[in-house]
Amino acid sequence: MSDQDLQESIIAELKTVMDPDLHKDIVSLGFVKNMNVKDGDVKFQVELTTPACPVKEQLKTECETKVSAVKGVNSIEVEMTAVVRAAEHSQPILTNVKNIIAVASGKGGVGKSTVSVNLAMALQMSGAKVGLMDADIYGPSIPQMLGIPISPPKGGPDNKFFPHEQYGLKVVSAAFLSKEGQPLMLRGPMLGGIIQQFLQNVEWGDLDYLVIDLPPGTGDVQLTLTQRAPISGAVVVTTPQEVSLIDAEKGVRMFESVKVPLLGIVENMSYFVCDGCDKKHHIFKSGGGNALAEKFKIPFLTDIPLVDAVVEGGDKGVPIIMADPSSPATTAYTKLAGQVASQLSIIQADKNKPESSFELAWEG
Amino acid sequence: MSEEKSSGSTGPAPKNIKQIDPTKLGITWTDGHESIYAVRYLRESCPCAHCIDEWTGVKRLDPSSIPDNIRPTKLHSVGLYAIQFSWTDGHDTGLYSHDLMRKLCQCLECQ
Repeated sequence: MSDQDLQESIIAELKTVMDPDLHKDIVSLGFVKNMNVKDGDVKFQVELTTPACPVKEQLKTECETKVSAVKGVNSIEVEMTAVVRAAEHSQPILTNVKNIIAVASGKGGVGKSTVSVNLAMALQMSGAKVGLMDADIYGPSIPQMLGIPISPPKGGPDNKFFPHEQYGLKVVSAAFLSKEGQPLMLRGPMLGGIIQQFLQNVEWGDLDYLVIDLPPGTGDVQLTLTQRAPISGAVVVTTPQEVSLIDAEKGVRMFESVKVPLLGIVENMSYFVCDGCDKKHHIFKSGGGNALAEKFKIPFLTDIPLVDAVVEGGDKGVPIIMADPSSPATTAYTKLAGQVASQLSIIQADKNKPESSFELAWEG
Repeated sequence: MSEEKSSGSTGPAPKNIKQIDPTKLGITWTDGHESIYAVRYLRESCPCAHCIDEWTGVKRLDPSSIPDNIRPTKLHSVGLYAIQFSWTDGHDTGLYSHDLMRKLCQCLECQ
């Protein structure tokens, strides 16, 4: 057998070696590097995504055992190496996007996705080019709220893919990557992989604003995004009650510790206007969002009323801002978009901006 | 990542980062402060989980294990809050937050 043929059988064999966390074989993952086959002597490297990989030895043994069993192999040498993914940060990403807005909350269920959708729509209706990234990998709800049927995104050259389009918005979501109703069950490295794809492989075209709907909490996705995406600013959504405010405060502190500028606080489900008396009922207490903003000296952007048409719009796939221009929620979202846009302009105009992205090669 | 308290998004950040000579790094900060670092000292101060025990905070890196001629190969920004160094000994897992860099400043005023 020629060395060429032998190499092919070895690669076929390595395709049966699975990474237990990523659920893919090490060849497809691109881990196998620098293969050298000469007269039956085989050398190659397996490049993992972290030097601290807990299954490193297990993978090495499996490679050795399987390759040794290939007919024509005399000797085998496997070197385990690792390249940490954070190094990918220095690649230019999202270069055609002028502003990236992260919408976050400490707590789940505060209406973060509803705020994201209506904020994106309000910016779009103001005449801006707007994209919306549903980074809530585990509970993607943006397609539903915008009435986009689940279908795989259209692919382009070089692993790129195109966002879905609805109401003039460009949208990517993890929901498009799985079958309707099926959960995505993923461990950390795959989560990072999906976010990385959203950042690097989407053909957004030119955008004035990219709104990123983050999952609740302060976890993997948030950190990956803050490390790899040049986020212009973050909006933290809360509801008025204490349990939500406590978590929102953690969200604020997270952005502070990674130095993402805070555009401000939005208080959602602030009050209910009853159709009988026009009185504002503060169902979940009042003033909490404002107090949080004051505590951290960041802007209080707006409060958004609890209106049943907002829920209905979300479920039907027509955001309130399109469905009912006269709704008090529409007024609130329009105000929010204006506030966000002006806060971003303030940040952009800061002459004393830190160096946001640099790379320095050492000499000597 | 184990971030402790932060000085907030208003804390100083590097405005200009440059190599001064083969063993010294210089940073000019947004508040006007000028820092100078010996690169070996920065390698010794690596905050990564290999060099500092993540749970106890005890230093695991033996400074004598670092080659005398240690140098960075390159450094780059991580998000808006940190700098990552790659070193000639192959180490590259440390993310030096701006807060940490400021604490490590070796100028006469800070020491």
